[in-house]
Amino acid sequence: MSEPMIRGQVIAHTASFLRSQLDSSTARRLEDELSAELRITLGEIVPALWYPRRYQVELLDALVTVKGKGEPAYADLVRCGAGFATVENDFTKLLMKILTTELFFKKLSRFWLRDHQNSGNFEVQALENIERGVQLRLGDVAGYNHSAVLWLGWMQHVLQRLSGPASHIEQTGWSWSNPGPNHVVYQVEWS
Amino acid sequence: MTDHELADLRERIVDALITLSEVGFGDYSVELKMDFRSRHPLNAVLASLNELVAAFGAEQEQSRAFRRELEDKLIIVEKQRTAIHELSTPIIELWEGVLCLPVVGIMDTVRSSEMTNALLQAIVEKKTRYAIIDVTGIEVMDTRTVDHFMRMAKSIKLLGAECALTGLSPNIAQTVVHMGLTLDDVVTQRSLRDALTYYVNRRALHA
Repeated sequence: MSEPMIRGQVIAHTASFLRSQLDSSTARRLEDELSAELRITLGEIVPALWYPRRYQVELLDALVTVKGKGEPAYADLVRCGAGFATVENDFTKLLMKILTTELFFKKLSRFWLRDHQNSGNFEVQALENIERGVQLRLGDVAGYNHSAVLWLGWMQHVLQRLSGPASHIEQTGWSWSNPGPNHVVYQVEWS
Repeated sequence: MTDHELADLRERIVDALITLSEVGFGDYSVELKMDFRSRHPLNAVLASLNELVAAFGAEQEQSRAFRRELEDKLIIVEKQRTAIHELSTPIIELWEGVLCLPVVGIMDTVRSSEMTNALLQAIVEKKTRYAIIDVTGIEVMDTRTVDHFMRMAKSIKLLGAECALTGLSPNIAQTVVHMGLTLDDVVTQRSLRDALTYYVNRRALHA
């Protein structure tokens, strides 16, 4: 089986977020947690290239190690994920102008595949009894620690831009004791 | 245009923009998918965009190749610079206690200073008594460089060694005279061979 890969831009954004958003002492401790291999890679990362997903996992695990398992680390993961939606180029800006909530969910797999190789897939199912709601199942992500929270932050941010602040997402599957489950389920509702 | 057609067009554009967002992050290997079964007018736009992306990608690749080539050349230039630097101050131990610094090429302040440092260091390390500076390879010397050699000779004397200047050209000799310099700290000899013979004789005399 091929190694799960991830776009350099995802790793670069995560590293940049951690370096800029954490206070200097926490950021320093986080740097100490990283392997020499990853530190070298971060220095020469190319946004468009593919890198082993374990680099991203190492970054997220390091964040949880230095912040501890709790609300502050969770909030950082969500904010980091939300930041992916703000990493823009001219095309993503145009995309946001014509994207609708329905199309966003329809194209979720394509968004995922833009940044991931050899792991993960989204299944979207309409929620019964709720007109503006879907259930998303992100499967085949075992070992992708804390990504469930990261991508929740991303979806939440995009959804708020598309549908307003009343949108709401809840995830099941991820927990501090099970940070890299094989699948995660998101229940999404928007106004 | 019906609502269905509008929704279809919107979806096609979204698909195209998702792909183009990869281009925006620097991936030029992507290709916009076209529906060849239909004669949708958007196909022509997508085909043109594919050509643009491919052309831009080729340009980027060429630019990367040029940059790599330039970086390789810079590494070679740096290596050559280091090699030239090392060769520019060759200090040779001609005899026990006798060092020679043959000077060739163009002299400037930086090189003069590096030469002085290297020679004084070698004199201390090798416990040298005689240092010969051979300037046969230099035809013309400006007043600053002559002055630098005189200071070099003074420093050598302060370290307890003796300095000989050999191979002075007529032009350099005139510069020294025009500058009104006295050569109290320096022994001058016509050639390297003369200087070496001089020191060997002096050693024999003091032995």
